[in-house]
Parts: sequence; structure tokens; C-alpha cells
Amino acid sequence: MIPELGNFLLIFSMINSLLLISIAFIYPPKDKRFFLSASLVTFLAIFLSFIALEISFLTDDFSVLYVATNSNPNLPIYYKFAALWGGHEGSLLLFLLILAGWILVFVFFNEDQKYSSAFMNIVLFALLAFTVFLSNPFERLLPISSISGSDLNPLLQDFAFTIHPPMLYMGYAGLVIPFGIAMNFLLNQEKVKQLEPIRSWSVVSWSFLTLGISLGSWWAYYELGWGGWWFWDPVENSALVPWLLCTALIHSSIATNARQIFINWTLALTILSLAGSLLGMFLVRSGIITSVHSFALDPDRGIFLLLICFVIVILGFSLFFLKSDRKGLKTDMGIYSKEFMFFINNAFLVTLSAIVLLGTIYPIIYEIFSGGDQITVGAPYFNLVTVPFALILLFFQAIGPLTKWGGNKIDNLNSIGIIIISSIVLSYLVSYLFFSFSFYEFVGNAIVLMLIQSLGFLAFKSFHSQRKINFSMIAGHLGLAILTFGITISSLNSVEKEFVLQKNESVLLGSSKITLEDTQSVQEDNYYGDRVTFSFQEEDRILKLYPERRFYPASRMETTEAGIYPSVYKDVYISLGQKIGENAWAAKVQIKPLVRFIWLGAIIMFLAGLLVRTKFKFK
Amino acid sequence: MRTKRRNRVIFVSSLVASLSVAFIFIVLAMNENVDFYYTPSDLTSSKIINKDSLRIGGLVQEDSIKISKDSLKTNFLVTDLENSIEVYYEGILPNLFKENSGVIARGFYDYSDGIFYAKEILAKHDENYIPKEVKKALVNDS
Repeated sequence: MIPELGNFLLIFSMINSLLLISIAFIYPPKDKRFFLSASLVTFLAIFLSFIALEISFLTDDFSVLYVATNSNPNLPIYYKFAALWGGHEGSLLLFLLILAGWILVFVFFNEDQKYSSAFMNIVLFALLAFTVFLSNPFERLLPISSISGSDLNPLLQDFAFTIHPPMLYMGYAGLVIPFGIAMNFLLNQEKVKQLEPIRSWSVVSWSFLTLGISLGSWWAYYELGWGGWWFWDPVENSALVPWLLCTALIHSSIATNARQIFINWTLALTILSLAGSLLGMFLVRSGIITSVHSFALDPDRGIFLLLICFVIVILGFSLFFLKSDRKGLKTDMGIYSKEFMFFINNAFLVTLSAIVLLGTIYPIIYEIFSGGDQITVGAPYFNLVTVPFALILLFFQAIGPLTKWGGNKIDNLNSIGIIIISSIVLSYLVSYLFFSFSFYEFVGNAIVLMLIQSLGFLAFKSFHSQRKINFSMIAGHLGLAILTFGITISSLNSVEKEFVLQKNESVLLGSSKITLEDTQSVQEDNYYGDRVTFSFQEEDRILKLYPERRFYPASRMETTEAGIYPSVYKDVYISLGQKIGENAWAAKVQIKPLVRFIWLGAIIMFLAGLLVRTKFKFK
Repeated sequence: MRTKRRNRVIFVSSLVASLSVAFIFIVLAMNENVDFYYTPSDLTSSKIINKDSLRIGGLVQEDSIKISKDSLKTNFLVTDLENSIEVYYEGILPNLFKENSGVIARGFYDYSDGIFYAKEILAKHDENYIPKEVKKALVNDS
């Protein structure tokens, strides 16, 4: 009964959303209350439908096909709750809930409505229709073939996983708001001021995208047992592309707000970043690309997501080309103006996203044009091509905030010179003294030092002249500097070793000694397996690590739980390989310096983004 | 006005130039870092494939896994149910590596001894999930 109710509510919200769109276009209501109540009803219907599916999960109602394939009676209750978004249909429902929530929040906070929420509802309606007709989570499985259900993928039975998709979806779905604002502007162009809210909304989306992506990276790091934090996997790339485009959108819209330039470009970016996030969903869900984390695949339904993506791009761009007044830039961009810096920022970010997208979909293109030959594009391509672009972009990121709007005002030139020179000297010393010196190490550190000095200088200047300080921007950029530092140091200075050890045998890695101390078996409700105790001796310090190999009987799946000793300076990471004989194990140990800085930086970026509207003034 | 137009011409042409340089750079990088995929039957056929890095896929043949007792060396056979190839790998095996399940190995094929030297064995997260390539190889042969 409850699943049917949930299904009914979903259909109801779809009709409601369609009604809002038709009324908004045919007979535009003057009153904001219409949009507010309609959006509230849509949201509540989807919310109750979400609750209905949760009830099916929590009560182990395996007559619902989706519950039967994604849950299990032995699953801890917390994971039963989160299992809702463990598969395709449920995660789509979560996405719809978040999307409807964002639209409601937008309508609540913005006075000037007209068509914006109608355009947002077009996206919502398309996805609702897709869910109701093609991937309905309430579909029954009759007659009931199993009373136990299969299981939530064991790799997903994990805390970071449970909050990773909701955060990422907050980001993806939030991109519909800039799109709606832009489309509304195109339909009734009154003043450029209408575009102002794009900045704050895109920063909020960007914050959640940042958090979602870094949670995913963190999860992959400790859960997959490879000790890597980024694999250039299609699924990761398809989240990175919208992130890059959204970053470009934020900057472009800042320039639009400040100088009324890049207007068309900002409009185009709102369409592109929404398209990027829909394309990302398509790539993740369709399984068209062989990915190591392909969960919940269904190629046929994926095509419809692609179709929705195309429709929205075509809708957006036809409106864009029909309606946008194509006046050129009015401002002259001196090479040392803030305008030029924003241009560089956008050019590089969009190029980077194109590079990542190209590498991600190249196998599909190749397969089509070569008549079925299959290839994969490996991580070396992405590293080789993205790293130089990213470094140049970061270099300009250090200079950009110190420049001024308006063509020719040359400001802070001496300071920039000092910052560049001191960074080069310092980086040379640091890289030489503390790390194995290499070109990338030197360049990476120099750029990080430049960024930090430039931000410090900016904060100092605002303090000195008692101007308002843009705390959100400074913290966000600082977060990126910390992240870059973490990436540089951990990528270039990690060491690892694979070995086979008997009980009480030791192996050396550098000056550290690793000993297999004990093996024991573990037994829990939903899994059983082996736990091995390693000691890691480094000078006088002895650390204990407990990696595990687990077997989940419900899904007949084996997983590796890495033994990690985390610290600010470095992580010690041991993952188990195959069991060899009675008391011997193959294992891999890795020492990863400053790897925590990567996620620390990302969290700072996330928090900074949430403070987008705040400006502090020193007294 | 004239200088403005000239500026624009310079701007556009430098943009085109830098974009094409970037494009060439990307295509070159791509060509060097692309792995082609083959089935065991492709490799055992008469056509010689000379590549430093390629991927093979299929099923791990039953009773073919030989794990060394004191090192990380492993030998096993990958089959597409028609032909099979011996794979040598030294390293940690992924969790889902077992007999009769799908596997993808990246490395190079040595025609002199007929052994595929794998640098990497790919892990799959979901045991119900068969890599697209493996599925294709199996479908082609059945």
C-alpha cells in the first residue's frame, strides 16, 4: 500500500510541476505566492514519496523490486536508511527531492520571479517523468522470489558513502538555479542586474560539489584499498567537469556583476554547467564507459538521460542565440587588468573541462568511428595534459586578486614582483631541504607559496586601509592552495612496497620496519573475514595497523579494509592482498605524506563557499 | 578604430594559434596513453600486434591459478572460451579475482614465449558486473 502511495505522490508532483510550467508561460501570475505554493506542494509530494520508499526499506518490504535488490534484513538500520540511494532508481528519487528543495528555496528568497522557476521546473518535470515511466523505484516484484533481499553493495556500507551522493546532488541540482535565472533574463531582458543572484547561487552549488567530490575521493582512499585519492575514472571525471564549469561560471558572473561584461559568456556557462551535470549523471548511470565504479547500470535508460540533457542544451542555446543581444565587449582589456585575469581564468577552466571531457568520452567516439575497436584512456593522459594547464591557472590565481578593474591602472606591481621572486627562492629551498627535489615539486611549491603570499598581502591591505575584506574569496582560494600543496607533496613523495610476510616476519621500507604480528578471524552480522595485525616501527615510535579482508555472504563479495594510521604529516596505509598459506599474507604498505591536506583544503573551500554573502570589515 | 580592428585580429589569431597548439598537444598525449583492448583469440591469431601497452579481457580459467608460496608471483590463464592465454603477474591481486570470473589485465604480450606480462590486474567492485569487453568477448564466441 505504502509503495503505491509513494508512486501516486510522485505522479502527482509530476503533474503539479507541469501545471506550474504551463500557467507560468500561458498566464504569468503577478503574485509570487502562486510559485511559492506550487513549489511547496511539489516538494512535499516528492518528500512524502521519498519517505514512502524509506518506509519500504526500513520495514524490509522485499515485494518492492528496488528494495529487494538493494537491501537485506541483516543490514544495520542506518545503512538500510542510506541504501535508498545505493542504486539507480533511488538515487534519482533523492536527486528529485533535492532539486525540488532547491527550487523551493529559490522561490522563497527571490522576489523577482517571472519565468525562472518555470524553467527550473522544466528540468524537474523531465526528470520526474523519466523516473515515473522509466525508472520507477516503487515497482513491485511479484510474486516475491526472495525473503532476504540481495544486499547493499558492501563497498557502499560506509559512512562517507551515505553522505557523498546527497552532497554531490546538492551541487548538481543547485546548478539548475543559475540556469533558470539566465533563461528568465533571456526571455525578458530588462537589466543586467537580474543576473546578479547567479553568483551566490553558483557559489553555493560549487560548495556542495566540492564537498561531494572530496567525500567521494576520501571514500575511495580508505575503502577501495588502493591508497589513491583520484583515479581519473569516468565517474570522477563526470563530477569534475561540472565543477570546473561551475568555477568558471562563478568568476564570469563576478565580472558580469562588477563591470557588465562577459554577459553572454555567463549565460552560456549556466547552460553548459547544467548540461555538464546532466551529462555526468548520464555517464555514471548508463555504464557506457567501462568504469571501476560502475554501480547500478542500465544502458537503455541512460539514453533517456542523454536525451533530457540534449533537450535542455538545445532549449537553452536556441533561446540564447535568438534572444541574446550580441554586443561585443565594451571594456578594453589591458593585459594587466582584472578583466583580463577573469578572461584567463575562464579560458583555462573551460579548456580544462574540455580536456577532461574529451579524455572521458574519447573511448566512445573511437569505438564508433573505428567500427568497434575498444580502447581506454589512462591516467597518464589526464596527468600529462591537465597538470600544466592547472599550474598556469594557479599562477594567474595568485596574481588576479591583486589587479584592478579597468584597463590601465597598474597597481601592486612591485608587490607582485616580490611575491614571485620570494616564492621561487623559498620553494627552491623548501623542495631542496625537505623533499626529493624535482621540477614539479619546485613549481608546485612555488605556486602554493605565491598563492598564500598574495592572499596574505590582500588581507593585510584590506586591514590597513580599513576596507571590507572578502573573507569567502580569500578562504576559498586559500583552501585551493592547501589542496594543491597536499597534491604536490603526496603525489611526488609517497613510497610504497608490496610484500609477502609470515607471522612474526618483518620487512623494511626506508628506515621503517613492518612486522606481521598476528592474524585472527572476525565475525559480524553482515560479514566475516580475517584481520591481520601489523606493527610499523619508525625510530622509537611503534604504530599498530589492522587491515582486514571481509566476505559479505549476502552479496557474495569480498572487500579489503585498509589499515590506516592517519596523521597530519603523513598516513601509513596497509592493505591486504591474497592470503598465502596458513599464516602468511600478501600486503602493500604505503607512506603518504601530507595526503590529509587534500581533503582539509577541500573542506576549507566548502565552508568558504557557504560564506559567500559575508564581508568583514576590520575596525 | 583601425588599431582596434588590428588588435582584434591579433587577439583572434593568437587564440586560434594557441588553441591549435593545445589541440595537437592533447591528441599527441592521447595517442601515447591509450590502451587498446584485445581478446585472447585476437592475440593467438596470426596477426601480430606490437604494442607496448594493451589490455586483454576474459574469464580466469578454472584450475589455472598458480600462486607462489613465498612471493607475489601469480600465473593464470585468461580465456574467451575459445582460446586462452597465459598471464604472468607480480603484485597484489584484486579482491574479486577468482576462477570463472571476469578479469582485465593491462600489460604487454611477448610473442617469443606466448606469455602476457601484466602490469595491472583490474579490480571490479561488483561481482554481478562483467566488464563490457568481457561480455562482448563471451557473446562473440557463444
